[in-house]
Amino acid sequence: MIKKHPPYPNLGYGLGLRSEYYDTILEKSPEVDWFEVITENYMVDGGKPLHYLDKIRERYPVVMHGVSLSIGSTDSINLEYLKNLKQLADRIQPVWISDHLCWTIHNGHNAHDLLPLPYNKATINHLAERIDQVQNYLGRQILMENVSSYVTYTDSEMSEWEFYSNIVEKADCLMLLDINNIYVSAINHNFDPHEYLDNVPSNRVQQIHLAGHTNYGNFIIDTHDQPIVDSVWELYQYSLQRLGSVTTMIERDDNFPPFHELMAELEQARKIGNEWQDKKTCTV
Amino acid sequence: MYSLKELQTSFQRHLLHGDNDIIEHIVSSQHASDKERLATYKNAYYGRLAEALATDFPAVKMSIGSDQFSKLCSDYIDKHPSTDTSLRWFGIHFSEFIQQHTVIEDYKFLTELATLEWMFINAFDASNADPVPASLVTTIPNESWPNITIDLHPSVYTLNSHWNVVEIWQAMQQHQTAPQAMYLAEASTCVIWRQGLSTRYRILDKFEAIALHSAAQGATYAQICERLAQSIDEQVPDFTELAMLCARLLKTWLTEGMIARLSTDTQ
Ligand SMILES: [Fe+2]
Repeated sequence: MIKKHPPYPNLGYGLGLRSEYYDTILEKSPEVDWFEVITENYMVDGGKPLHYLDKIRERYPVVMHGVSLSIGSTDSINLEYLKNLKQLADRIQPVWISDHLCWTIHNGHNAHDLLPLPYNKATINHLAERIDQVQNYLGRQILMENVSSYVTYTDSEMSEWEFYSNIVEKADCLMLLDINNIYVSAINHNFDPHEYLDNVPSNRVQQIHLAGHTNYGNFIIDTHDQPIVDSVWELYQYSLQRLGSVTTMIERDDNFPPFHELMAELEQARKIGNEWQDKKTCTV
Repeated sequence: MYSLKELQTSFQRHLLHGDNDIIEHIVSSQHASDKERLATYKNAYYGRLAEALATDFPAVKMSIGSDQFSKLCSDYIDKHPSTDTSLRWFGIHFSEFIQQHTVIEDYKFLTELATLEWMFINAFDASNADPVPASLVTTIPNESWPNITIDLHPSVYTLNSHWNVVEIWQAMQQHQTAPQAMYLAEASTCVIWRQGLSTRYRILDKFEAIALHSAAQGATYAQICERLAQSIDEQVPDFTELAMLCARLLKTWLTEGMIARLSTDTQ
């Protein structure tokens, strides 16, 4: 009954593929181990986006990271979207596919935001069922990422990490742990991020996201437009003590710095990761 | 307890219409009130969609200024919530919406300008197709020419405009002062397409516009020549000259990568 997790290889240290860096990547072939692409940006008919994606895919492993699966929606699963997702996956052969533990679409209207879910049993069952449906359609295990949130619902009955862990166990999917999102939510909701990290099932963590945020004093917004802060680096270090080295990626979605600045951040992650390289993920 | 569906309905009503019944389902805390917390989502919702429109319609924004553009965006967001999984398609109704909006009273050219910008977006990521090489024409036997039909590249769009929107757009692209909007004595046609990875555009003269429209509608080579002849309303058209004009246009389109297929099937 015990399955070996995670089923995908450790890809090392990657960056998000953003059009701002297409030419730099092709000209300089930087030492990035792999790239993560925003799925929806490449669900187009042709032209530049797919041209560059194909070229970069020739040189690097790629994973697909979506924002519109809307796994937490109560609308039925968008089969047209799944079809396009599979089509793109067939084209670029990503090592894995991920999306977020949230809802974005309701009654056919897309908020284009990663909206929070109430943490309770009914939601767990609902999501596990839908993740199962998606995994069956795609014929592979997917990764679900924790999002930053700014509200807590009165309908929540448990902590975010209990909710998250329960879903991935029940749906038999994998985790994309966003350390910055954990930090942001910990500040916004006043919990201890270490407790979160201590309680996720380590054998399900396939990937880690690191990113920057904007601090507005009384709360923090997950903006992905700043360098990673020290507290998030510390949490990363803390996570790896338990998890061993995990495929890690740095998200930068705005206020794009010169490429070498992202490379410097990536090297910092690699350095921390190398310290924990030999630690095996064995405890649950 | 709300069902998940009810919760999402309330939350969405807050985002889309500012309804506040969701508030009783949000826990308030000392360092940020429930209203403040919800505002993060509502601001992000409008901000993200307005940003998508500003990215897709920079010339429209520049023409009417940031304040009016914000108002236009917010009216559009209310009227046309996104129904696609990608923001790529959010602006699909924008030019048509502008036509119905009061902004058109002061900026009569704005619909055409928005249509032009949307065509550039469509050309940018339209389907790929290998353009027919110009050399192919030499392999077509003479007797086949009259029945040849032309499939344009999927990225080819044409805009018939009554305003000088192409000049306005071009000046803004080049960060120059845009010319005054002007109603044109004669409508002008602009073709937009993608050659390789570059999006290109060109204003057509009257004859090329007629020929390209005819080709797009599936006219045969002979029919294209005929329509050109009809458009020359002077004396009896010189058919040799017409045939040469037609051949020259076809050659231009071929060298510019605008043709995806020349079909010689007779019916
Ligand atoms: Fe993330």
